[in-house]
Amino acid sequence: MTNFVDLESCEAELLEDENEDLYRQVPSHHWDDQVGRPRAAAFGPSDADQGKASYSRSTKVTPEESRAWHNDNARSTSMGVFKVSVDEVVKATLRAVDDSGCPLPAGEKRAPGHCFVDFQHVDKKEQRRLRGLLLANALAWGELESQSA
Amino acid sequence: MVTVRCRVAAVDRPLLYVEQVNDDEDAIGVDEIDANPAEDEHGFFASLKLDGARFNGGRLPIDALVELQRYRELILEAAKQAWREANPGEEVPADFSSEFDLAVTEIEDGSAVPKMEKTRSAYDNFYDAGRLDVEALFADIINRNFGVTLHDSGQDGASDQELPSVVEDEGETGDGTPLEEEDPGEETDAESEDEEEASTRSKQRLLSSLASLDAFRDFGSSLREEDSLVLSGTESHEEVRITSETAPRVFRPIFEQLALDLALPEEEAPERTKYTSTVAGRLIALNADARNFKIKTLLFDQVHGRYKDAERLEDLKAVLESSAQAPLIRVTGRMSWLGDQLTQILNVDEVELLEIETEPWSRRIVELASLAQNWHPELDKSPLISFTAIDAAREVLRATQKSEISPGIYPGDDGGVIVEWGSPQRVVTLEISPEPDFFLFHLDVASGDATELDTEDLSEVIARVGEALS
Repeated sequence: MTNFVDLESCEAELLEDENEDLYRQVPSHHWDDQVGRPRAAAFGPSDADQGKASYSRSTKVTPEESRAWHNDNARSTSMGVFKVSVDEVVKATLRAVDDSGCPLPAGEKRAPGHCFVDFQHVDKKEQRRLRGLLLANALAWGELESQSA
Repeated sequence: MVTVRCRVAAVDRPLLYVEQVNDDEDAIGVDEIDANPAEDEHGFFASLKLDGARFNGGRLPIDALVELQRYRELILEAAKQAWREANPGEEVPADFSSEFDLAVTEIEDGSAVPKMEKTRSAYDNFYDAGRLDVEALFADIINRNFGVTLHDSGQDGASDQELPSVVEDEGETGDGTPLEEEDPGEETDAESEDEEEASTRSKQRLLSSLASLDAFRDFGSSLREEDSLVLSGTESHEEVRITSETAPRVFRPIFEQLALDLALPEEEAPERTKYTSTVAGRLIALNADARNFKIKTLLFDQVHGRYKDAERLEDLKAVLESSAQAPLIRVTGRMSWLGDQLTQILNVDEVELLEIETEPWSRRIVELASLAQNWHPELDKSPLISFTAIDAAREVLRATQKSEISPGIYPGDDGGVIVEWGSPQRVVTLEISPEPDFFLFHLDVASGDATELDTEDLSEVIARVGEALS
C-alpha cells in the first residue's frame, strides 16, 4: 500500500476513470525540437513544486486551452502538450489530486482545471523511476494537438 | 530681448546654415551661409530669442543661462537618436557628447543676443539633425498639440484635470485656432500616409526620449511671467514661443502621461547596459593590428568585438587555424547590450572552441552551446552549458548512433547535458555534469525495474548505454 501524504481538506483525489486524462505542458528546457520529444523530468515535479507536479484535467479544459493559459501566465513557454490517463497515474502507484478548491496565496493564479500528480511521498530515486513511467505512457499517446488555429 | 546664436561647423557635407538676426524689433532676417569646412571653423547653428523687459539692452541674466544648458541637452539627446537611427545596433561614440561643444561667445544688443559657437566635429550632421528635430517637435507640441492636450489656460474653461493625450491632435492649434483643412477632393495616397505614419512614429520616439530628461520637463521654467523664449521659424516649422507656463502645462504633463504608459518607454527606449556575459558564434574576421574581430553570433547576428590582452589574439588565431570553415566559438567577456540585444563585445576574457562535425545531433548541440547565461526560465540562475559536457555527450552519441531510438538532448540545470532515449518500452537517461561525471538511469517499462550507474568513466558509460539500448 502506498504511503501517501495526507491531503488537505480542500484537496480531492481523482478516482480511476478511464475517461479522464491529465494534460502536461512541456517547457522549452525539457523539449528537444530536433527529435520532437520531452524528457522524463517534464512529467515530475520541479524543486519548487514541493512534490506536486501540475497537470490539467481533460474534463475541465482542452489541450489548447491549457497550453494557452500556461503561455499567458507561466514563466516558461509550453512547447507542446502530452497526456497520461488517471488510470496510468494510479497504476504507477501515484495519485492525481484536484486542488481547485484550495485557497491561493495573494497574487497567484491557478490554471483552469488544475490538478497535481502527487510525488510528495517518494524519494528522488523513486521519483526518477515514476516520471520515466509517465513519460513512457505519454509517448505511447503521442503529442496532442494544442495549437490554436 | 536676447537672441542666442549657436554656431556649428560642417564636416561631411556643406551645411546650409540659417542665421536669424535679431534687430530691435521682432523681425527676423534669414541668411544662407555656405559653410566650407576647410575655410570656416564655425557656422551659425541656431537662434534663440529671450524676449522680455529684463533682457533689454543685450542683458542676459545669469538665472536664464540654464535655459541654454537645457537647450543644448535636448539637442544632444536628439542628435544621439539621429545617430542611432543612422547606425542601428551601434553604440553612440564615447566622445559624442564632449564633441558637442557649444559656447556663448557674444551677446548682441537688440534687446540682447547671446551668440553660441561650436568647434567643428565629425558628428556635426547629427547635431544639426538633432536641433532641427527638437525645434520641429516643439513646434508640433506647442503649436499643434502633438503629444499633449493643453491644459486650461484659464480662458477656455477646459479642466486642469484633463489628461494629456499622447497622440497627434490635428484638430486645432494650441491656442484653439482651427488648423487649415485639407482639400477634401485631394486624396492622400498610401505612400504619403506611410511616410506620415513613419514621421509620427519618429516624433513619438523622440518625444519619449526627450521627456525623460529634466531639461525637457523644466525647459523655460526659469522664465518670468512676462518673458518668453522663442525658437525662430524655418522652412520646416513655424516659430515656437515658450513661456513660464509651458513647462507646467505642456512638458510635464507629457512626461507624466508617458510615465503612466510604462510599455511605451520600455519598448521605444531599451536600456543600454554593459556586463560580462558569454555568446556563441562563428569567428569570421580577425584583425591583429587593431585588436578586433567579427563574430557571427547564433543569437544576435554579426557583432564586432575587441580584446586587450595579447593572449586572446593567440587564442583566436588558434581557433581560426583549427578549422577550414569559420569555427564555432564561445566568447566570454565584457559586452555592451541594448535591451537584450548584444551590440558589441568590449573585451574578451576567454575563448572556447567547439568543433562541430556534420552529425545528426549537430544542430541541437549548437543550440545548447548557444544558450545564454540564465537560460532556464524557471530558475533565477542557470550556468552556461559546459563544452566539456558537450564533448562527452558527442562521444556517447557517436558510439551509440546505431540505436533505433533517436536520442533527445537537453540542457542540464547545472550546466551539464542530458541525453535521453525515451520510448513507450524503455527510458535510458544519461546525465552528464559539467566536469564531466556521468549518471546513467535505465528503466524497463514492462517490468517497472530501473538500474542506475554513477561513474566518471566515459568508456564504461558508453558500454552500459549500448547494453541498455540493445
